[in-house]
Amino acid sequence: MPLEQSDDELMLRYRDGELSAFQELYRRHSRGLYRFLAWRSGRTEWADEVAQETWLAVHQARTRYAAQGSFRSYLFQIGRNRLADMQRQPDIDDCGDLSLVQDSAEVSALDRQQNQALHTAIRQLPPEQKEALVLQHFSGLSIDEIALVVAAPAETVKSRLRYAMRKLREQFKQEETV
Amino acid sequence: MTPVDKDDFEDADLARRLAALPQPEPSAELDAAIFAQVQQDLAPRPAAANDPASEAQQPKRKHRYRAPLAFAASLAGIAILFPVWRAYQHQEQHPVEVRIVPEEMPALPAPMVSSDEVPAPADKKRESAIVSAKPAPPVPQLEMPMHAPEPAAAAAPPPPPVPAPEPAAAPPARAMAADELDSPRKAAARSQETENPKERLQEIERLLDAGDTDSAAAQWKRFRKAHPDYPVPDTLAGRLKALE
Repeated sequence: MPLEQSDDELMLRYRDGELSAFQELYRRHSRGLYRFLAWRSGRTEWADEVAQETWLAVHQARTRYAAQGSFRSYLFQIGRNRLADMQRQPDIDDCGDLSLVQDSAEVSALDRQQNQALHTAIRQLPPEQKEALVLQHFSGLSIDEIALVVAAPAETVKSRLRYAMRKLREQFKQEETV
Repeated sequence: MTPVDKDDFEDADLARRLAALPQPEPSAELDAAIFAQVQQDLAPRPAAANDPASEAQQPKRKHRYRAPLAFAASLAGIAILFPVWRAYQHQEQHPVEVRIVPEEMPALPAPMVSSDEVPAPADKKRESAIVSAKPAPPVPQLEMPMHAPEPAAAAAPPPPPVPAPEPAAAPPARAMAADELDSPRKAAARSQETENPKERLQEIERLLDAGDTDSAAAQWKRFRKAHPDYPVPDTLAGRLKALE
């Protein structure tokens, strides 16, 4: 069984013009990036636009890519900066309206209710805690990768995650008591 | 169960719930749009002269300056090699001038030998070489020392003729030249004396007729040493006895 190529190896092949390498990179990381952008922006249309811009920015900068073993941090940093540029525009209303993705028909009413409560609790988290939580639990980044993306020490990232989980637990208990 | 264990248990349960939470996904249209743009950019296309190429297609700086660098290197090579080539050409022209000199040299010894001028030390050697070579058949090697000692002088234009010395100064110079004759010339003179006894007797007789008795006596002494048994005419013998 052949060993799976690393992101850096794929990026080098992609730099040399190999489209299949780009397709593999996109397959690996497009969902995680999109989730991060959607949760952080709160709007699916923004997530679509920024995701497209992010991948095209990677494409344009592929010849200057320095293989340092963390393509995913590099990708998410580009997306985060693009999103920040968009949110700084004065005519943009920064009111996120990301709605809960509809569950499948097999999901019970109780689970649907719990998911709605969890979704609401996440949206009410402070931005830094929500960002760290989304990057870890929805995009699959490690503590070190999150630290690179948000430009903060790893201990700070751990602390943000700890507070985020505590708040979610507390809100979850309140939802259960209600 | 401690509070920490309880938190861990609840975190694990919460993490499981977070993982099960439905997430937004990129649409198929978004995937297709991104793929189409990347594929279009990666596909090779005919490049026009005024086509703004992408970064990957732009020539590297090293390639961009290849032609100007080659041109500059060629100019530098020409600037270095042209003076060398010119100098080489000048060196080739000089031997032509040197070859002319041996043709002019035979004209030079004539005034030196024929006139009664005082020859220079170098010229004396030439003269002696010429005198010694005259009786023998001409040998090319004997003429070589005439040109070899002073190639620079040979290359230079012939010196202006030296004004003729005063007649009073000529005899000492000639005597000195005779004294400085080298051994080949003396040998030639001796050979003349020994080979023509009859002519020597006639010469002595002429000296007696001219009244130069001293020279005649000296010549007679030398003759007798060289030819002690040679018959002498009675008339001449009587005149020589009168001298003694």
